[in-house]
Parts: sequence; C-alpha cells; structure tokens
Amino acid sequence: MFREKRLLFLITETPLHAGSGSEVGIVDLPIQRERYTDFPKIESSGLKGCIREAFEGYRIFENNESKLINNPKVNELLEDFPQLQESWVIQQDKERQQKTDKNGNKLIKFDEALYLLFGPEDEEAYAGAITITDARILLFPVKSLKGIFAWITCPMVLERFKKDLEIIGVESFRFNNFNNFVNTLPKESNIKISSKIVLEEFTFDVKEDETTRNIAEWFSERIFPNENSYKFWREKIKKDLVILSDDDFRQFTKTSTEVITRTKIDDKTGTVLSGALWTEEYLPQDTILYTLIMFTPTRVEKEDQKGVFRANSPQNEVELVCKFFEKGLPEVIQIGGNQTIGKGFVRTNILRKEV
Amino acid sequence: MNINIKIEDKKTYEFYNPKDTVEILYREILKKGIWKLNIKNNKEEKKDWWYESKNDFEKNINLLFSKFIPKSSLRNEEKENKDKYLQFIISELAKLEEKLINFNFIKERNQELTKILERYGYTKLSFEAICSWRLIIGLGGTHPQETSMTLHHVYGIPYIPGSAIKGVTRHWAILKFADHSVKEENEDFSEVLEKISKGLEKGENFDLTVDGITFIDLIQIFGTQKEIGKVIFMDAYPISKINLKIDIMNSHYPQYYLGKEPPADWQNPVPIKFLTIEKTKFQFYLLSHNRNLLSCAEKLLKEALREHGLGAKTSLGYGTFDMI
Repeated sequence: MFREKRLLFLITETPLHAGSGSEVGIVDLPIQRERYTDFPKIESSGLKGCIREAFEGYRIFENNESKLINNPKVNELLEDFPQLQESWVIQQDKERQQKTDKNGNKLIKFDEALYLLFGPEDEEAYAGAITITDARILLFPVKSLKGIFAWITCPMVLERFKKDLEIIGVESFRFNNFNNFVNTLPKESNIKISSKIVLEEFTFDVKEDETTRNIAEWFSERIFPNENSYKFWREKIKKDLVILSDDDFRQFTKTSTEVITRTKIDDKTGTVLSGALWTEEYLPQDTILYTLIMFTPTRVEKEDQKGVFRANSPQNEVELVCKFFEKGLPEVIQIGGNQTIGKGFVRTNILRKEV
Repeated sequence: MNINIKIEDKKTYEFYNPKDTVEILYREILKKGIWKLNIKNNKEEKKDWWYESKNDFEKNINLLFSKFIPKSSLRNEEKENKDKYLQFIISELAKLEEKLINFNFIKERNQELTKILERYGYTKLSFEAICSWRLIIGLGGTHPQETSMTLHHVYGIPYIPGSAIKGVTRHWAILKFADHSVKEENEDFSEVLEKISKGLEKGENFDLTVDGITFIDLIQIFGTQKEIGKVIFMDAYPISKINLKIDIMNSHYPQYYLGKEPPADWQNPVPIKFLTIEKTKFQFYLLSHNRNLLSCAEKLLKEALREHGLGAKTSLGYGTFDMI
C-alpha cells in the first residue's frame, strides 16, 4: 500500500515538552510516554500537525488571497512544481471558480497540495497521502561525571530501530543480538573512568566493544546534518554512546528528563505569586527520536483533483508526493508547548536512501 | 549509603551517593589539608584544607553541584565546607572552559539554529550584554545546601532560561505602563498595577501608548490564555569566560525572620553562601514573524535588563546588564 517510505530523525535543539495533560504526581505536566514501555514518545497526531503547520508557514494570506512567501525552500519547491502559485480552480455547478477556505481566502495550488498530502480542511472526505508514525526514542542524553554527557540506548530500542529500518528498506544497519552488547561503549570513549562510567549518580561497569563502535559510527554519519555546527556532536556520538540494559535505559528516561519549575511573578509585589508554582517535564536538548513517514498516491478519485501530483501512473504519483514532502520539509520545526520561551525546536533530517 | 575513607590528612568527609560511585569520587575529588609546624609546641597543626580534582578530565558541573556534595563529618569544619566546595565547583568550571574553549560549539549551534529559522520567515534579533555586576538565576531552586543556581540540564553550564527573560520583560512592561498610567490619571499605583496586570493576562485592551508601544502590542508580544505570544524569547548562553563568584547573604536577625522573636542584637548572624555569575557576557536571541513587535520587545527587554535586572535579588542591584 505504501510505495515510498522514509525515516526522519528528530534532534531536539531545545528542550521539548510534548505534553500528555496534567497529572497528580511529582511532575504537574508530564511528557507523553509509550503505554507499554514507558519510553518517551511524540504522538503522531501532534507530530503531523506540527509538520503541516510548518508547511503552511510557506504561504500567507494577503487581501484574502493565499500567497507563497519568498524563501529559498519555496523557490526549491517551485523549481520542481512550477504550478504551485497558480489559482486552485474547481468545477462548481457547471462553473469554474477559485477554491476558497472557510474564511473566504482564495486558495492556490500549493494549498491543494497540502490538502492532498495531509488531508482536506473542508467537508470533503478523503485521506491524506502521508502517514506518520509516533516518534520513537533512539538516543537519550544523560549527564556523565566524566566527559559532560553520554548518549544512552538499549537493546529493545536498537532492535525496534532495526525493524523500522527494514520497513523502509535500509539494510546498512547490519547489527544483531543487541543483548550481547549491554554495558558496552566504543573504544577511546571520553566518559570512561578506568572500566567504569558514572551516569547521574550511578556507576556501571562497562567494556569496550568493536561492534558498539560501529553502531556509534553508523549513527554519527547519519543522524546529524552534515554541517560544521554539528561537528562537535558528530565526533562525540562516535565515542560516547553507551548501550545499557532495557531496564536501566527506561529508568534514566523516567528520572533524568529535564524537570523545570515554573513560577509566576506577582506584578504587585515582584515576588512569586502564591500558588503559582508548577513543574513541567521536558525531553532534554540532544535527545534523538525518529519517525517513519510513508506515502501513498493521492486519495482522490478524479484525475483533475490531483493537482500538482497528477502523473501517468500511481508509482509516479507517489514519487511526486514524496518529493514534495522531502523538498518542502523545513530543517527546523517546532513541536510541543512553550514555543514563546524557545522550547520545542527540533532539527529534522531525513535518512538518505542507501544503495 | 555512605562510607568513610581515611585520606592523607587523616580527616574524614562523606558523600551521600551509591557506594561504587562514592569510591570513584574519593579517587577523583581529594580534600587536601595544609599542615604547618607550630614552633611553640613543636607540633604539626592543620591550617587549611581544599578540594581538588585528581585527574585532568572534564566533569559535568551540574552533577558536581547538585549531586556529588562532599560533607565534612567533623563538626568544626561544617561551615567552611560549603565555601571550599563552592570554590571547588568554580575551579572545575574553569578547567572545563579551558578544555572546551569557552563552549564555542554551543554558540555555533545556536547561531545555526536561528539562521535556519530566519529562512522560514522569522526575523532574528540578537544582542550581547554583559552583567554589570552579579547575576543569580534559580537561587531558590531545590538544592541540598539551600542555595541553588540554574545550570544547563545536559551541559551543566550556567545559562539564562528563556522563561526568565520573557518573565522579566513582561513584568517590566507592566511596571512601565502602570507608571505611565498613574502619572496621567492620578490613581493609586498598586491598584493600577493590578488592573494592568490582569488586563494583560486576559487580553483586555486599554487605550495606552508608552514610548510608541501600544497596549495591543504588549498583548501580542506576550500572548494571553487565548492566543500565543508572537515573540520568542530564546535561552541566553554565556559567550565569554564565565566568572563564578561566591557570594554571601547574612541574616542578622534569623529568629525574627522565622517569626519567633523580635529583631535584636543578641541573635547570631547566619551567613549563607551562594554562587553568582559575575561580569559575564551573554548572547540574547529574540525571534518573531512581526518586525514591529520584535523591536518593541527588544526595547522592553533591554530596558528591563538595564534598569530592573534578571533573576534573584534584583532590589540589591543583582542581575542588571550593560548592552554591548
């Protein structure tokens, strides 16, 4: 059914609060977690909404007309899809007229493409051509007594990641039996103190391992964008990746998330307003998550409804849909709460296809 | 679980951490005593002691500061202990800075992030500011030794959270508008303050313009329960050498503040030590889709930094900045 699939890495640039509502516990506003593993996650509905919103940021409404903004990414999209700026014309009661949204804004082909990709925003009923899974955790940063911090992962996470890679047809992650690599790290790691590491206040006996080094290298080459500003992190991940047991990993993702105490200042007294003190849980900066993105041909019947994705075969149609997404996806999106204090900025990086 | 290990100067100190971790800490964090010969009685006497990291490796300052706290098990050393321990944190941060070249990699990544956001319709506004004297953020946070400081969750370095920056800007704006309003209407200041504070929270409009900034601008900058604010206040990171200093607050009438006795001179002062950041340069970033709101926010933030101050103890002159 899905003809094109991609794996999208999400690198948290600032702490991220994908909230699950309020709770009577130590933390007032906890983050979303998988019901059965307790690992942190980002719900796909929220993620899809954020990505859609990011795409919608490419156009503005001026005088009730939809208009594409002038930016390099839009120009790239226009190279491949030159019709995006044209009016979105529909046949209504034997009359051709420009499509409008519920606020009366006149729409263009770019809006049509978004409707087809993510699903329509009016009464019309058809599904979008994109499927996004829950974002799953891959690597989690933990403070280390030596070397500032380490990334941790565990066999269950690695096993699942491997299966997910198989779904999208990436075969270069040729590692198996992750249970054999519990409490190992790459050679020449910065965080090792003789044969031990100290993460938060806990000490683990660790061994250096060649395979773990290769896994770390695989991550280093693919997770971070190939930019100078990531050099420090690319080098760090090669050395400071630790595979812990599933239980230890879960424990850290439960107890080492960033919990921020927020207060509200009473403007009259200048001190903390009584009763206005609450705690919020965040995924720390440098958490690595991933999500699978799958594409289908557009879900509309008539050829003339397919807009810029119209092609001579379903396969070509999917390729156009996928291309539109890949070209258009912003390098940075914002997910979760508290955007206005700089939270939730996430760097996106689509895993490139390997032959 | 705590164990005592006799070290060179035969004095003891403890860590309240898991046993295997404690053993590593004893190896890495030494408490050295300085001994001198007393000529009068011809005996070696301890003059001073000091924590020092044994190996030259970069430690996570946040961990040292919040979890690995050595506690002297000798009664008479307890008070001095905190002082020495804070000095130890300062020297470890200095070592770390030297090794990691003032955390330049964080600065570069922040630059890259904001540069990318500019590509997507955001306007970026950044400026550097140096705290004129001392700055303390998160003094009242949870800490085993009463006084805390906000350190980065992963990197462990001091920084200013965006929430603190937005909060002080908002507070300053309310003070400023209330002040203006009082001058015009001759009302009671605290009443006006409350009215404006509530108005901004609920998004009610007042017909007020101060320095070219309207009340609607304020509502849009900071947002309300119904609508998100239109300006993003990013975390501010240090971009020069971080100068940590030990500061002291000294309550002269502790019993009075506990509500037990009237203030009187027979009460013993209780000095409490805490860490502050002194004369350090920070990089501030503001982002918005709206240039007008951005420059209004910049104006308010710079005023708040210059004249009000960020963080704790602003009434004593802490937390004020000079723009560069």
